[in-house]
Amino acid sequence: MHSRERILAALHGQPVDRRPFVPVLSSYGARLTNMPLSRYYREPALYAAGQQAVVETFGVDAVIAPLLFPCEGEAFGSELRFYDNQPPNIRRMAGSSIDEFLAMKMPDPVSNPSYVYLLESARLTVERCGKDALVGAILTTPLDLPSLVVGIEGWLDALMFRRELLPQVFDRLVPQFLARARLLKQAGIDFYVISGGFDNSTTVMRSLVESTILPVLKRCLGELELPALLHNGGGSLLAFADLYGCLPQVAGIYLDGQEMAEARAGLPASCALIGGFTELSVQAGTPEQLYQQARALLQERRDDARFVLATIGPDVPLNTPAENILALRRAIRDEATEK
Amino acid sequence: METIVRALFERAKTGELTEGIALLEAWRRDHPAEDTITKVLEPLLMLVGTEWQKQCLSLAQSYVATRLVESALTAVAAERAAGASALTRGVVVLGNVEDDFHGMGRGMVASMLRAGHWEVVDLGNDVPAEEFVNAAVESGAKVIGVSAMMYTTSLNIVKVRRSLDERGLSGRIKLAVGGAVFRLRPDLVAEVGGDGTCLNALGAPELFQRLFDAASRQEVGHA
Repeated sequence: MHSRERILAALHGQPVDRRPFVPVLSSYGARLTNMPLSRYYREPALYAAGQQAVVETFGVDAVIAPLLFPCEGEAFGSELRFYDNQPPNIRRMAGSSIDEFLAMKMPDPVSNPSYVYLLESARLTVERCGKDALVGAILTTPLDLPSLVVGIEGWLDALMFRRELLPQVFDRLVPQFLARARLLKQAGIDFYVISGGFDNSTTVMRSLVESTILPVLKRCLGELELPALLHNGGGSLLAFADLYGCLPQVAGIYLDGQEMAEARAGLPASCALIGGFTELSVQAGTPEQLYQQARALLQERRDDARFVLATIGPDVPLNTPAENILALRRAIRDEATEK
Repeated sequence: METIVRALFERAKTGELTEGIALLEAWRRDHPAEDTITKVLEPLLMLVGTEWQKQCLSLAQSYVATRLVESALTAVAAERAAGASALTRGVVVLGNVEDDFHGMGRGMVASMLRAGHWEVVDLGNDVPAEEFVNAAVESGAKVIGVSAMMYTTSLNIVKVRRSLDERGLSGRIKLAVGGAVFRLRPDLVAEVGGDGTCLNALGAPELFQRLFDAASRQEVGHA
């Protein structure tokens, strides 16, 4: 099967020749192409070349256009700092309160340089990798974006104590979200990865999800024209899986390996389970440990047609041995061979 | 546990900060000022920490609890300033390590330490190693607390350890490390040269006291 057929089959619960393999290796392409991150995350052609190297080296079934949330903060005026060993981060927020955010001019999703980088990287990644792998793109939701502009504390403060301003915030950001979604679709991507910083149970409680998070997600996702995978941010979506599994366009949810059985029991059958390994577990394990863990997970999920082996959380760190990532792929291939 | 603690905890869980503050202010009118910390804030933080550790509490709920504690501490501090001066346990230096800009956890630790009668020198985000050590020397701090959220930035803590070693201060100034990544990778504490960590802000007063005592013993040994 071709990667496209394999992933689409998995998302639709149809038989596959082997499990799809979708680790998050956004920065890893820079390592494979020996490219400084300061150029990789500024020049779309270099990003696309890096993702092509990811496909060729690891045989992944899908790659993701830049996992670079700070870049969206930069579009609003936040300042970035670049590093040698990790993706850029925000060194200074554009503001510190939701009032400042509401006074800011919205960046143009077509011409703002930060958005141009993200969009052009997606387009070129499709051009270079689209024949061999699916290409997904991150969509930062209106629930996460303010934290990249006024900081986590400033946004939490608004979510909890400045609720009268939230309709104004979302009325500005939902159209922006949808405009970006349309542009990414025009760039040729196959699916969206929906950011999950402020919709996981590590960050927010159920009452906030029900009152605020869910209505915004419904508003955003209901308009999408491509499948959406809900990313877990750095936390867990398990506690709210019953709420998120029924959202429009949601084809899958990112989960850790030990969460999958419980999540499956509470999710609609149509929702795929994506994940199994945190980025840190892939970085810290030995190839043999990771191989055995992957085999065990594949065995546990053997009767679950809608399962995709992937990494969850942030990007796999740059100093992760390539052998560790290859061990996961080997586990998938060995399992398929033994079937 | 005092009923007020449970009531405040519930307000934090439901995000009702204003109601929580009003509840606490009403309680404080009928109780001695010292009880605010020992009978309410410390047990409240204990409860918040325990529930956070059990993953029964979200960041948003912890944030509300922290705001509640900060509000009460401000009131207590104002009363103390107007009355007798309070004794402090000692000075500690806090900051996010070089390249790290996620200061929320550090702010919560600072609140917990101040509630525990520590004088906190908070250096903010993206603090170079030398600045930590200089601040500790200048303020007489025996413990430096360094926060890092991500794996990559946590590795910069090694520079603080190296600076302490090179200046012959290791042992006499202890290095506490913390942040989300240490919960996921406890082995990192040793890897970056930390002398200790705690799972959450609640554990900070106990950790800093333990390291402070160890540093004091070391100092006596050198004298």
